[in-house]
Amino acid sequence: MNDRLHPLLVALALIDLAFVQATDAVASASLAPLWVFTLASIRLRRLQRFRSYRIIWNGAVLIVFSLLVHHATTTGLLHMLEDGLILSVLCQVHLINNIGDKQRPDLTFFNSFLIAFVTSFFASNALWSILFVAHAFVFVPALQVYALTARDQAVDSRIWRATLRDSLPRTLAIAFATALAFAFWPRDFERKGWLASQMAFGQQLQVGLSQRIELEQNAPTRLSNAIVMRIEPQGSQLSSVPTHWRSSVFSRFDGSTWLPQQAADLGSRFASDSQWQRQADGTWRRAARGAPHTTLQVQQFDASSGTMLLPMQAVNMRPKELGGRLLNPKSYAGFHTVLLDAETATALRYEVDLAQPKPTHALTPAAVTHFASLPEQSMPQLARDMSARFRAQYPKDVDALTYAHALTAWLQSNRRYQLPGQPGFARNLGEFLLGSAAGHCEYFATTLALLLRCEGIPCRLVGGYLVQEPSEDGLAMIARERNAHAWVEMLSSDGTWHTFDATPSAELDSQTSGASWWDSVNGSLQTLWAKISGFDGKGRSELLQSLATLPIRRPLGTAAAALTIALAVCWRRQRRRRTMRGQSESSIVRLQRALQRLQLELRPGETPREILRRLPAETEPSLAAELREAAAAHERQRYRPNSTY
Amino acid sequence: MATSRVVLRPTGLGARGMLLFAVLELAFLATSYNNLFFLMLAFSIALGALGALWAWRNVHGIEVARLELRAAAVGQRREAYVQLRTKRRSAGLRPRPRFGIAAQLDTGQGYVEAAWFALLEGQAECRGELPPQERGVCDLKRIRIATDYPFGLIRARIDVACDAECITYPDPQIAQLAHGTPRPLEQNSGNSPGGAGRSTTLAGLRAYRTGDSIGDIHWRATARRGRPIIKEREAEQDQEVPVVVDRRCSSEELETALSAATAQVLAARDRGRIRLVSQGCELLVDAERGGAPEALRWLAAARVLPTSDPSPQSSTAAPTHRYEAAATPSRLTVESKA
Repeated sequence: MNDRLHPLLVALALIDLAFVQATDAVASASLAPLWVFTLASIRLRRLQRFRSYRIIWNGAVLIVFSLLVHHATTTGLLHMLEDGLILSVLCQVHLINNIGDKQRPDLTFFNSFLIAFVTSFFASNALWSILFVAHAFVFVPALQVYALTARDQAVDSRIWRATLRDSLPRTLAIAFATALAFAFWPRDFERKGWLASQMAFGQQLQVGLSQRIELEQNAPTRLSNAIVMRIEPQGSQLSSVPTHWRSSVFSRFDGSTWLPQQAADLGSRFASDSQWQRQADGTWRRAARGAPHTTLQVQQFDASSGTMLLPMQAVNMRPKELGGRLLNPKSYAGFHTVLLDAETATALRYEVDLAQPKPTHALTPAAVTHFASLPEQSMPQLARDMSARFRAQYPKDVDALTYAHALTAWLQSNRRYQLPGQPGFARNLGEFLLGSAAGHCEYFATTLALLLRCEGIPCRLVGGYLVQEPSEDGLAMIARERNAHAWVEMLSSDGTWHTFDATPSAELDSQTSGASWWDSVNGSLQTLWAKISGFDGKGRSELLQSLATLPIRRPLGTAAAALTIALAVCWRRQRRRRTMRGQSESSIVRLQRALQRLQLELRPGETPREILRRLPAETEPSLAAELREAAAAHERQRYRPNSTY
Repeated sequence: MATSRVVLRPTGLGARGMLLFAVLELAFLATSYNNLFFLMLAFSIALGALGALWAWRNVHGIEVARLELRAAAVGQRREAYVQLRTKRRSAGLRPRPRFGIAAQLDTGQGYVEAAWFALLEGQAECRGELPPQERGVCDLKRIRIATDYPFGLIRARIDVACDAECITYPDPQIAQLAHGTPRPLEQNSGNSPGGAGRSTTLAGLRAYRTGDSIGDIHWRATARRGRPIIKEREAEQDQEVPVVVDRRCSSEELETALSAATAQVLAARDRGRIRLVSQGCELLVDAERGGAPEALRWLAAARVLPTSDPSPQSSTAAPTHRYEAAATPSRLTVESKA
């Protein structure tokens, strides 16, 4: 392997380590020695000629391999990914430290590509895409230098620099071709694959509310656009309508299923939230801090779930039309509805006043313990590991709210959203925790709840609807069946419940407003990443339409871009012509430079050929070759001035 | 022969890459669709397809400006001088650089790399070495230009027309090894009795050449001119020694005879004059007037003749010197008469 190639292979190995680090599946402490050995390989490789050095390296790799295999087989499948990734980068580091001058580095290239490939399944943020771009800009030039230096012949610095310059447009061309293929190649985004179709469930599930949340439902979902509720603010903007409307609350998790919050679990109906009290005029009221600031008119068209949809901030509720139903207040400050006569059932209509609810005074220690409980037997170890790793990044005295916000942001950035039955959906919670598969809102909420509970922070899962869509008339907000959603409520020390939504699309919009420039850039990258990883037929149609209408929507920008490209092409052609004309000067300069490097002087009347004849035998071959080429170029220019070469 | 089309073949690295791609493609089809999986496959396809296109462009349009192969003896490496140039793209524009170009020659025993150009911009020359060849004259009508650039995955090659000869003449050492060192042809001293001798008539003075006898140094002229000066005899100028090779023999005997004749031709190239005579061949080799390349070419191509063929005939007068080649004087005869 040529010495010119080694720095590029070191850069490849560093990027491979970064790929593995970006998956968060491997602890930094495990990767630290590999980082050090990769950087030190520039020096260490010189020891490769010593047999003892090679024996030590090979022995160390064998020992680490045995330990990894033992670890993977004894700690379960969840660690197999971590151990596999460590082994792959260990092989890479071993190669660049031990490859001899006569050996070919083919395996380094294959290994690097496979590491990038495998980590793509476990990375869920824009960092992987940035690393992939960097990887391409090192991988392609490394291949080019390898193709040129495979003959074990010395390559002088001029040719090496020319090769690296030549690699830039090629890398850009490959990146452009890849982007074109990704954007426009026709394919079936819903394809299951002949393995997946063998394991698919037979029936579809409809997205909607349920009385219990079972996580490992993988059947395809049917998204209905039927409107569930319509919310009209009275005398205020649409933005005053809360986004999260609660239906059911779940507090007990058995490892795969969330069960509804029951007063019996808490010891008292009043143990978690301030309760609804019926007033004499039929209004339902609960304790609030301050006067209500917003009034909403709500029409609930679908009450089949048996619950009334209310936001956390609801402090007054005035039923207008119950549609033949009775209301039963629940311990989580919601209402169950009991249908008395199905034939007379109509939509629910009610008014809601919003304010900050006052924390309950009856919050018992048992209730707090209940909301922080974890399943004893089927608690995923990976969740505990993740929690410990995340917790270590923060000081011990960090407050729970800050910690919960950080966890929420991390989940939004590092896990992917997908509906059940769609390609890449997690078959179980473990896959989602690992990051190897995507999940829907219930997975996000469950993960957040588990990680908070691992730290003893009381929280619960809430099911309801996400309200973000304005109605056609623009006077109200609506929620459809497809907007069924799950999120987490965290109990702070003062007894206030705080809403945390870890599902990516929900919180990004609210967080980007008023954020710093880095947050804006990060947000844009995350949005771009979401578009790439979630690209589908609809996305492609939108992209095509956007490109087709670009000259109409942005005529100045399009014209400016076309003009810039034309100017760049003209400039490049002019530069080539100038280079041609300047070759007459450059051949003399080149000859002088070659003589300078050899510390030779041109005697008066001496021709370049005579200088070549008096070159000492011990002259370095690369320098002698450079002088020969410079002399030949000078002769060509001097004696064939009309030649275009 | 016109330039052939560019042929593309995967290299070892490329073949293994294709195998890896096939495995990944199978995995892609077996599992549910994943955008990033598709992105990686698209990158691989772009790398391979553009690599093939660029390898094609790297060799397309290359011409052979010059090809020179120095004649060499059997068992010797020979220098090859190759000059390649690229076709002009358009007036005034710098030609597109080509990287990693190998020039290969078909010497009848397979393609052999003659030169390698790390960077070819417009026109470039390179000197390389060819391995030893068998005796003979090989017409080179094409030179193969090959490259693995840019990614080492695809090898592109094109056969470009050229016109050159690869002449491998007999090894002059064979006769010496088989039959002892032949006595070199002696100049006519004029004082030696019975035959070979040297003329006494002084034809002129000339500069000393390696191999001249110390006894011929003209000391006074040497002192005057400050460098060795030799007395040139008339007989030296006129003396021509015929070397007759009768090819009606076995191949082993012919090789020995040709080896001995080659030694004489190489000696005469620097000094002296010989006339190489065989069936259908009569060539004069003279240090001043040349003739050695043609003689070496003939020696490289000489073949055994049947015994029914006539004996070699010379157009000049009877030879004036006898040369005893070795144990088989009947097959290489340099006859001379005093």
